Formats: sequence, C-alpha cells, structure tokens
Amino acid sequence: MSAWLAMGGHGFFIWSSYGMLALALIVEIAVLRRSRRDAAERARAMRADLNQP
Amino acid sequence: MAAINWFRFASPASFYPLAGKLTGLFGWVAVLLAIAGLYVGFVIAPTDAQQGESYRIIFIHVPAAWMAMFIYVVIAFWSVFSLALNARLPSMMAQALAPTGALFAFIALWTGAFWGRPTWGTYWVWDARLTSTLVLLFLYLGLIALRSGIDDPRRADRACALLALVGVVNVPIIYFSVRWWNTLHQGATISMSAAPKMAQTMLTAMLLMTFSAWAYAIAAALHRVRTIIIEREALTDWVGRLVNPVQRQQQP
Amino acid sequence: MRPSSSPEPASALAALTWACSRDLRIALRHRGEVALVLVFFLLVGSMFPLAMAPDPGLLRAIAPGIAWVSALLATLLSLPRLFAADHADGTLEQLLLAPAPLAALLAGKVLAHWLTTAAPLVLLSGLAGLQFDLDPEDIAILALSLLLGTPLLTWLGAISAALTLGARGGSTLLGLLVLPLAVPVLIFGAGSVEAASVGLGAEAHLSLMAAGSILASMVGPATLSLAVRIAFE
Repeated sequence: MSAWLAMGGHGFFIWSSYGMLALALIVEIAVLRRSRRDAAERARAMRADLNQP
Repeated sequence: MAAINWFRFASPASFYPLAGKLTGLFGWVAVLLAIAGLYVGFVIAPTDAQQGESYRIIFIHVPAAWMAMFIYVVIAFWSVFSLALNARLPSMMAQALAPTGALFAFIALWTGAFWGRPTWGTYWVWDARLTSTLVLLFLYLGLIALRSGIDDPRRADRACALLALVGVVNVPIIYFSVRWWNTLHQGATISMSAAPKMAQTMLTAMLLMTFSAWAYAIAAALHRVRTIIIEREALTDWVGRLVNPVQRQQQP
Repeated sequence: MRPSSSPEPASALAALTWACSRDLRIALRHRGEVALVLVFFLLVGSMFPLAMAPDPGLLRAIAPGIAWVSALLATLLSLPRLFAADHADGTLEQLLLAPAPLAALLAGKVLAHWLTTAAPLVLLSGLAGLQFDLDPEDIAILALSLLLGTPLLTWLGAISAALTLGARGGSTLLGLLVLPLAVPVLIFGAGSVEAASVGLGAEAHLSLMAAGSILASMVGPATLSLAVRIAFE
C-alpha cells in the first residue's frame, strides 16, 4: 500500500495535484450550497421587508 | 424537438425546476465517470517508461485545461444570445459558468506546475499552453470582477457579455502569439503537449476524466444558476412560494 | 456643445472630425494631464535598471520588453481620461442622443486620444531606447512597433474603459481587463525589436501588428458604440 502511495518517488507531486483538485471541488460545492442558502435567506428577508408573503 | 418546448424553458421560473433535476443527474454522471477514469488511470494504465508515475497527473491536468478553454467558449455562446435576444437566462448561465471555468484554469495551472517539476525540473515552464491558460485565468477573473463591479444586474449582464465576446475572439490570437513567442525562445525542448506516447489505456482514462469534468461543470453551473435565479427573481411570486413554503415540505 | 447648430444628422466624417478636434482642444487645455502620462512612461522605464544591476548587455536585451510594458501601463493610465470627464458632465449622454453616428463620434474621440497619448509615446521611445543603449536601428524598429501597435491597444482600452464606466474598481479593474487582451500586441511589439536586433528581420511582427490595428479600427467603432450604449442602460 505504501509503495503505491509513494508512486515511485513521485508521490508528493501526484498527491499534491489530486489533493488540490479535491480541495477545490470541496470548496466549490460548499460555496455553492452556502450561497444558495444565503440567497434564499436574503430573498425571504427582502420579501418580509416589503410585506410580501 | 419542437421549438415551442425549448422556449418554454426560457423563463427563469420554468427553467429552475429543470435545472434542479439536471444538476443531480449530471452530478452522478460526473462521479461515475470519474471513478471509471481513475480506475483505468491508476490501476490499469502502466507506468510510463520516461516519466514514471508522475505522468498520471495528466488525467486531471489535460481535462482541466480543455474544460477551462471550452467553458469560455460556452460563455461566449451564451453571451451572443444574451446580447441578441436581450434575455436574462442566457446571461445568468454565462454568469454561472465563469467561476467554474476559472477553477478549472487554476487546476490546470497547479497540476501543470506539479507535473512540470518532476518531469522538467521547474515548477513553472513558460510553455505555450500553460501561459495561455494563465492568460485565460485572467480573462475569467476579469469577467467575474466586471460582474461584481457593476451594480445594475442587466447592465452587468450586457457588459460581461460584450467582454466575453471580445475575449473569445482574442483567445485564439493570444494562444498563437504565445506559441510563436514560446518556439522562438525555447525551441521545442519543453512542451507540455509532448505528453508520453499515449498507450490506449492512458488515452481512455483521459477521455473518461474529460467527460467527467464536463458533466461536473454542467452540474455546478446549473446549481449556481439556480442561486442566481433566486437572487434576481427574489420578488416574484413563485420564488416567494419557494422560499416560504406554506407547509414545511421538502424543497426542490 | 452640440455637434451641429442645425438639426440635420451629421455625416460620419463630419462627426468624426468634430469629436476629434473637440477632444484635441480639451487636451490642449489640459496639457499637464497629457504630459503626466508621458512622464510616467519614462519613469516606469527607469525603475527597471534601478531594480537590477545596470549591466549594459542585459539592459539592451530587456529594453524592448520594458519599453513596451511601460507604454502599455502608460496607455492604461491614460484611458480613464477618454470618457471620465464627458461621463461626469453628461456630455457622453448627449453624444448618445446626438443626430450623428455614434460610431463616428467615438472614433473621433479615440483618434484624438491616440494622437495625444500614443503618438507622443512613439517619439519618446527614442529616449527610452537611449536609456537602455539600444542601437539606432533598433530604436527605429521600437518606435515603428509602437506606432503600429498602439492603435490596436487604444481600441482595446477604449472598449474596456466604456465597459467599466461607473463600475467599482476603477483603474485596477480596467487594467485587469486590458492587460490580458494586450498580450499578443506585447509579444509581437517587443518581439519585433528583438528579432531585428538579432538580424532576423521584423517584417512579420510589424505587418501582423499593422493588420491588427487596421482590423481593430474597422470593428472598433461599432463595438465601442455598443459598449457605450450598454453603459447607459
């Protein structure tokens, strides 16, 4: 297993690449979900302010 | 494919639920293709004679670079409709795609650097494709910055649409000028395009990952456009029903 | 300041001439503003030798790149001048409503801007060349490359300036938009001098830039009109 992880000595580069990709995807998906919730919140607040149900 | 059917989805209100269903679908397609691609790429594809294991980075580097390029063209495509039809939904799609495109450009650059280091000794090589991708990233950031700098949404739509069109015309010119510059200064010694002579399995893995990236981009953009629709249509009735459900039901 | 005292629509050439001469007169009144840009060009160029060991061979090698980047930055800084004053006092809006082809009016403004910004840069590039000890032939190529490349640059800058009218982010946003688009001009402009200095001949570079500038001058006016109209919705 650790031999496979080491990737013939290039492990650092390979996992840094795939790791950054994983990180980027996690961040993007998290931001997507968060902004959707925030947008719904803001819409609710805006409508309440203007007394629209 | 009656014309009537498609125009029915041209309003944000009717597009919203469709986008929701498609997001889930494309998300799963992306996951499945990625699993298949990574399996072929790591388990089946052999070690490369010259580059050892580090070549396996191309399974994400090349798809990311292609998608960064492709998404910009799609943004330009939506921008044409945005300007020609003066419609909101094409602009919203363009707005939704930009961050994902920028992300792919960044990943292409990062993975390119980490591939370059073990292969050619430096983290950054000023080769034509990497440098063009860097310029492409700046073009994306320009689109995003312009969008956030203009307060009026419709004005922002049209300004960004024009910017995207000016950009897309320039992208091939940028690419060829950078390639000219590169061959003059470095010769053909270092080239990211000179990937290892591709065994069939390597090619298969790369294609699977490319389609996975494509499906992911569609899923992410559709999710984002739903958020944009909520923001911009906040005062309409249907959004009111969406965010303030009469009974606490599961939201679509 | 109406384009014509009679209500008939003005011809394209008349509109262009009127807009150009008006902007030139304004620039003449604000000579300091114009000179500022040129001083900046020389200033930026001077920074580089100060930031490194002023080895003559090295300086000669990087001179074309530095001169072109300095020209690019100076042009960038001058761009707000193109629309800012007219936007602020409502003249730009008047131009939109004027009975004259908007494309021609804007082309006149761009021409005036090029004459007061880029054209002097072409002349000043000789000074910059001397700072870096370039050969006279190379200086000539540098000036020629600036002459042929700056129209394209000015059009790209004008369109970007129109798009960022009233946007937050100011000159920095403008820079973010213009610089990536200017990459090809930069490559061929600086490359032309380099090619000439090693004896490869700069014709290819120069003709490409000339073609680019001509093309830009043909599609520029219409694109710029669209950009300005968008800014006023």
